[in-house]
Amino acid sequence: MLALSLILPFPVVQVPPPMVALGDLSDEELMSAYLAGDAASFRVLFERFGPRIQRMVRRHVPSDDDARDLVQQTFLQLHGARADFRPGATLRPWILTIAMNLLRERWRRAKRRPTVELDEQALESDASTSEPLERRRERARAIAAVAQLPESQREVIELHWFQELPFAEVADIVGANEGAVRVRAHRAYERLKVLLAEEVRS
Amino acid sequence: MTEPRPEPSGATNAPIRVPAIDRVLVDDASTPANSDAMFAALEAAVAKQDGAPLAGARALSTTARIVATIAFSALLVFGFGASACRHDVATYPSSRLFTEALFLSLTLGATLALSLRPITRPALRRPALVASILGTLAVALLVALVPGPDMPHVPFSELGPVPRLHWSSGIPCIGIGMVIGVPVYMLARLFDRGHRASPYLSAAAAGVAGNLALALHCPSGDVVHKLTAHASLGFIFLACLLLAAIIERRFPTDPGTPRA
Repeated sequence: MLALSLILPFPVVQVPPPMVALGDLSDEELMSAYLAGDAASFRVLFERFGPRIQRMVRRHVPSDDDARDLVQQTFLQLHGARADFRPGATLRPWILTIAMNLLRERWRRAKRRPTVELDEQALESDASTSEPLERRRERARAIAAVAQLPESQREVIELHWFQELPFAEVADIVGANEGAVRVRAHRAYERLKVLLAEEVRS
Repeated sequence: MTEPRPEPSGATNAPIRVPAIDRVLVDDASTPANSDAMFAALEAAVAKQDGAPLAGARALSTTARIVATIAFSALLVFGFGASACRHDVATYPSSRLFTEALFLSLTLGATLALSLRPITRPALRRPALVASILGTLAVALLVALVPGPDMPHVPFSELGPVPRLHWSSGIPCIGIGMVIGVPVYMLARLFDRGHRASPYLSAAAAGVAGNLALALHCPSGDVVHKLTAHASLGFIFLACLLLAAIIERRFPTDPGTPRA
């Protein structure tokens, strides 16, 4: 419309667009709206991606507070990087790249791999959920097994298995080529098979 | 626990599944609570970030940040070079001076661009970061190792121990290099949005900026002087940064806040 009004010698009457709920907009439309000054769009983006990122990082950090902190840092950095957003770009890899960078940084600062040890007493006494104990135990074992993987495999497992992203997008987010990501995923799978089988045996 | 189901390799785009992990996904599908409180905290953090002094610099696009940093650095270095040009500039081979300045300028620009890469790109892996920093330092060393036109070439293996004289005569050059490098480092940090590798790359860039200024200012063609007083700048900046990092780790100012 703007281009048309520049070309035509007479003013172009702009028909107001039909009212669209923010929730119906795509991620990229929301980001564009946020860039244009619509603060409510940021809230919708937060509601759309926040829980997902929180679940993602919670699997790799020791506490809910740490996970919430990482979510906040992710959106804070997204806000800081908003001037780089261009029409046609996809928002999801942006957010996940920021989150993965922060998570990687957290892993490195922890210096050693965040081993999630099974605390049987804590599992049994956890009153916050009605989930059966055996199910909770299984979940804790799976997360502990993932935590034992090397960082480069762990991030691929997170993005490809848990987030269900295609290999091409995972490669984009972790800064590697697609072939390398496939190899990492395969090695991680083999390693997890061994780790989980050991768990079953023990 | 069920035995993991064997699957073919990750040759397809379909996620390979381990049943135990599938259950984690199902169990974990609930929306975390207190999103209102989290968003309120985020809004406060955004307001604090936007209200910080010079916050607008970081809010610029990556292209603008890189262009501004490189332009300022060039202005500083070449401004100094023009105002305090080496006294042998009339006799010094201009092609030689141009080549040295070109190499160092390109290295400076590339290192600054790398240090200001957008946070929406994956952080540099440790090997890539180390290679980038070593590459930057290597360019400075290479420029220093080429003797001046009137100096005999001394192979690196025959340089021997560094005489005290070179250290003392090099102090003014190190001082000038630091005076030029520090503003470049500070500007790069001012525009930086928080990649982990950025401080190290900025320090290496500051060293190159100092080198470039000295290439335009110092007439010495002595290889040992250039190695100890010019090429050492990058190492000095990196050493200062590592020292600061060690001190910060030992005495954290705010251990609860991630450095992002």
